[in-house]
Amino acid sequence: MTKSLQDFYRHKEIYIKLPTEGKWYTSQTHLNDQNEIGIMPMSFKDEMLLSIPDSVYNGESLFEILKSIIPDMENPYEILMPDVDIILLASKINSNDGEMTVDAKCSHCQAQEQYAVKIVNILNQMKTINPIELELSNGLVISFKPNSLRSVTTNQIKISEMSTILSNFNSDEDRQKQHQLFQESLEKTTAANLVLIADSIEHVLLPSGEKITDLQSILDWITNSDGKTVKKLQEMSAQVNNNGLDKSFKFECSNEECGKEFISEVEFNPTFFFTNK
Amino acid sequence: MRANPGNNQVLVDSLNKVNKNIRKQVYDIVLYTEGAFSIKELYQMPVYQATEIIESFTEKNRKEKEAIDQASGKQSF
Repeated sequence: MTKSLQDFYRHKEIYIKLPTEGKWYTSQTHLNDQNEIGIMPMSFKDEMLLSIPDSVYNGESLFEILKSIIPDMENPYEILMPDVDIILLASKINSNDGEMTVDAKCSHCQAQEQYAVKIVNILNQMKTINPIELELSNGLVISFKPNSLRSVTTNQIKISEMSTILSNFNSDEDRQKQHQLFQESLEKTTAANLVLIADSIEHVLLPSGEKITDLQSILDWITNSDGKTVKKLQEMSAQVNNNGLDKSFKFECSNEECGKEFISEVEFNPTFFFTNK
Repeated sequence: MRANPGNNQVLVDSLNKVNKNIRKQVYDIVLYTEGAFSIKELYQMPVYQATEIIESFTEKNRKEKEAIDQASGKQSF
C-alpha cells in the first residue's frame, strides 16, 4: 500500500506580517522570528467552499478556509478583520500570475467586466495597527481593538435580513404594519451597529482605575451615551480597523466604444459579496 | 432569500456554476491521467498545481495527436 501523496502537495508558500502583528489574539498564533505568519495556497477543496452559496453567506466557508491556509493560527474563529483581507490575498499570490480577477462596473457606460489586479501591489499598502485610546471629558479612557471576523459577519447577516424584510414590503399591506416593520428594522440595524462598536472596545478604564471588559456592560453604556460620543467611538473603531488597503481601483473600461477611466470599489472578502449587494 | 433577491439569485447561480466547474476539473484530471491522482488527493492540491497538470496532459495529448498524424501522413497545425 503506497503512502498517500496528499501531504506533499501544499507548503507554506508565503510569509507575511499581519496588520495586527498577532496582538489581541488570546489563542496561540505562531509567528516566526521576523514576526511573520506562513500562508498556504488555497486548495481545490477551499475553492469549492467559496462556491457553496449558503456557507459563503453565513461565513462558515471562510472559517474553514482560514483553518486550511493558516495552520499556525490555533483558533481562526478569533481572527481579526484587518488580518482577513491580507491572508486571503496572500494565499492567492502564486495563482494566476499573482493577479486577482475582479468584477467592476464602468461608471460611464455601465458595462460590467472582469479586470485583473496585481495582488502584490495591494499587499504593499498594508500598515501595522497599534492600540489606540480615547479619553472622554467624563474621565473614561477607552482602549480600542480591531473587530473580529465573527462579529462583523453576524452583524452583516442581521443588517441583510432587515433589508430583506424592507424589500419585501407589499404596497397593499396595512400602512400601520409597514410603519411598525420599518421602525423595528431601524432599531435592529442601529443595535447591530452598536454591537460592532462595543466589539471594537478592548476595555473601558474608569476614573477609579477599574477596567470594564464585559461586552454587555460596554454595550449598555454605548446604548445610553449621547450621539456625539457614539460618533467619536465609531470614528475610532473605523481607525483601529484600517489595515491600509485601498479598496478603490482605477480601471480603463474594456468596452471598446467607451474606453474611459473609472474608479470602482473592490471587495476582497468573498463572504461579503452577498450582504453588500 | 437575501438582501436583494434578484442580485442574490444571480450570485447563487454563478457560484453553483463555479462549483460545477471545479468538480469537472477534478474529474477530468482523474480520467485523463488514468487515475494517477485520486479525487481525495486532488481536493488537497493547490489550484495552480492542478492547472499545471491539466496543461501537461493537454500538451501530451497534442504531441500524441501530432505523432499519429505524422505517421499517417497528415499535417497538423
